[in-house]
Amino acid sequence: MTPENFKKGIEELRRSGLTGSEKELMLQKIMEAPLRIPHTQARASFVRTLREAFIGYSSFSYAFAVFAVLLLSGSSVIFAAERSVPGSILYGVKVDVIEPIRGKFVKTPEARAKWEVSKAERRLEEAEKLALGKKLDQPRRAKLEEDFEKNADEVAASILKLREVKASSTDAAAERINEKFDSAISSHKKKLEDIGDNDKTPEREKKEIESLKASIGRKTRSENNRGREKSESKSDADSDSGDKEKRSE
Amino acid sequence: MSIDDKKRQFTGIYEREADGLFRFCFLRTSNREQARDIAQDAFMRLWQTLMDGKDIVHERAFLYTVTRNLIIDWYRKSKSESLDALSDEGDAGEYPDMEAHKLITFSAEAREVLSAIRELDPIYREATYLRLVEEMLPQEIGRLLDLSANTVSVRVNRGIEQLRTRFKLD
Repeated sequence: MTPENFKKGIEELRRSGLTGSEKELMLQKIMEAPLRIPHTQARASFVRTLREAFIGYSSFSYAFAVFAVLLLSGSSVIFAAERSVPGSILYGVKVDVIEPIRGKFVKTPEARAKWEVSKAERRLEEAEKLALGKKLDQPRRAKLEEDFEKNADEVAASILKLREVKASSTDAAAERINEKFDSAISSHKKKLEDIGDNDKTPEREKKEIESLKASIGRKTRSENNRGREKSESKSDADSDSGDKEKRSE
Repeated sequence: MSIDDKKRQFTGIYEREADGLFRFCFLRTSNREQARDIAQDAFMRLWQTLMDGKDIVHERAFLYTVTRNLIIDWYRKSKSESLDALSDEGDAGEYPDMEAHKLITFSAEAREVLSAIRELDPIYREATYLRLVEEMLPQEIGRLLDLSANTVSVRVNRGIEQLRTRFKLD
């Protein structure tokens, strides 16, 4: 073999490799593969998920069976889905599968109200994650707004239901949960505001944050008013009927 | 570092190293699909490590070290022969038979060079391949094979010497 041919052979080996489409596909597969969560983080998150899932649940054996099935069949999918945000593949699993299943285990009105608050908070946490990652675009913001509105309606309905139980303990619980919801909203709005005020946040992102904040404000104001009106009108109605009864006596 | 920064870092490494790593796998597994799977697995481990927030000083060395281990695992699963030969001098296995390269069409010259590299003394083979084909520096090869740069240089020189003798290049 001549030195030229040897050089030619080496050059050819250096040029060999993946085709363009193989390279693209491989990168796509890597990015889409579920990531392993570090052991300690996974354990903490899993314990929290379980604890939240079984609020108000009474049948231990059934809960254990569900737990075993989840553990065996798709814990990694659940972990990944729980960390997902609008726009990612597993977000649908989080919002349309995991959260409704967790909701099924919630039995008492108080636990229900807490769970609804926690869901609404999750939407706001997702908004923060997206905003921090500079990924809060119009479609994602619209999806978050839509979901948040739904969750806020559910919060108001669950608090109203709790008040309807008509016991001093549930009334106090309703107040506590309402306050918790208000303070959570303020705190998340403040976080979004901080992200929006950051010079490094792109203008496009700032607009989306502003719009989201306005929508959250509108929704929570109207929910508060509506919740109070309903509650007040109900108590007025109750006192009216009490007065009537007294008069008839 | 944000997720976007990590993605950018990873994509940069992927663009630089994907072909070389795939070649490295293909030369050892003789199977294009298997080579792709191993390379993909190695990149996934790199991605996982970055996402775990761990620092990787030498990404290339990380990738090749992981890949060599994956190839050894692959041999362990797919071959019945002893693994003793695989661990000799950190070698990740025999270079494949030329017949197995038919999925990639090489010229006669490239095939001959490959065959000659394959037939080098095992102690010189990997260092020579990484220097000649992947154009790694002795320091880099040393990090990968856990050898000093001097030792790598000696092995590469001796490997090249064997190739010169074989092809009568002088």
